Amino acid sequence: MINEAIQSFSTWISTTPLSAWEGTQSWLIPNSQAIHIISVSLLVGTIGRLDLRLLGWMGLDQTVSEMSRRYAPWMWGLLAILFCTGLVQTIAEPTRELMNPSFRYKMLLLAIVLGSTVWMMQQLRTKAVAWDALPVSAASRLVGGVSIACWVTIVLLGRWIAYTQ
Amino acid sequence: MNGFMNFLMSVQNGPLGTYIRESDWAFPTLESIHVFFLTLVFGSIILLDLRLIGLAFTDRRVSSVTRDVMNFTWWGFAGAALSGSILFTSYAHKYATDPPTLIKFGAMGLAGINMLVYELVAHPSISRWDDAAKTPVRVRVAGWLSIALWLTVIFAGRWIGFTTQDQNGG
Repeated sequence: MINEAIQSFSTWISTTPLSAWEGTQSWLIPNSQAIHIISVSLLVGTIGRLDLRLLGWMGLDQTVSEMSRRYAPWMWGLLAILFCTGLVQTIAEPTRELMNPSFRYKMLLLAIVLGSTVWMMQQLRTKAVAWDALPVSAASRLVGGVSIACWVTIVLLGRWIAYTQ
Repeated sequence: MNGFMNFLMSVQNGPLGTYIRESDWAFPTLESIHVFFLTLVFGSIILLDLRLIGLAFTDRRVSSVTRDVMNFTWWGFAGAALSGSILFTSYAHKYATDPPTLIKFGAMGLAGINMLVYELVAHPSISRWDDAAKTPVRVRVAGWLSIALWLTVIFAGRWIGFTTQDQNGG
């Protein structure tokens, strides 16, 4: 039922002029994918470091609040670029993305990691002392572990979209 | 050159190349791992480059940022080089004349040279600009070159999928 709805939605997108135009621009998708990969690399480089601090494995000379303040603007900016380039690719080939199990698992993990990150940032506002303290708390380890596992899997699934359907 | 191309053809038709090319899972698995290692390389070295050009993290010393990122850059590069080499065997002969592949290898070579020049020419005087938000020109040039070259590697790398294969492009 939901699958049929997503399928007809995908089919509808593919009939739009924008989707048709994208299909004629052979330069567009490769470059969009390259920008997508560049952005996720930066996300791995920044959020990954914050995650390692949350886990208590690295960067213990800095506090979680300090690192989170440093990287949050990067994270939101990069997520915006990732969303835009992902949208370009989805409009070009809606069925290939929306009906693809790799894409769906990727979106599920994205929702989980965003939820956990936003929760952590809210906690940081009121309970910074507890989050900055060493040794790191169980909550800190949990958020760091979930985030790192989600982002690594998201990167791997992203490339798998090209091979599953 | 002919001998080299014959060698690449024998690699492509050898057991490893043939297996990677014909298996359902090998190429996608290696490729996704390759991209993951690439995110480690670029995601780490860019933090240092941004610090070198004075665009970010200027509240931290260059040496601290370097210490933070270098292990990730090197391990990421080792993983990407290994997975990339295995991927290469599957279409070795085709990649050797593929323009994006050649651009990618060229840019990687230049990135390596840039790193070496930075180590030899700029890095020895680090104690004088370690704290500085505005680093000397030669340091900033090395940072900008590194960013430009690694961006070229990623763009060209993604284009390889569209110029050499029908399947893994999109």
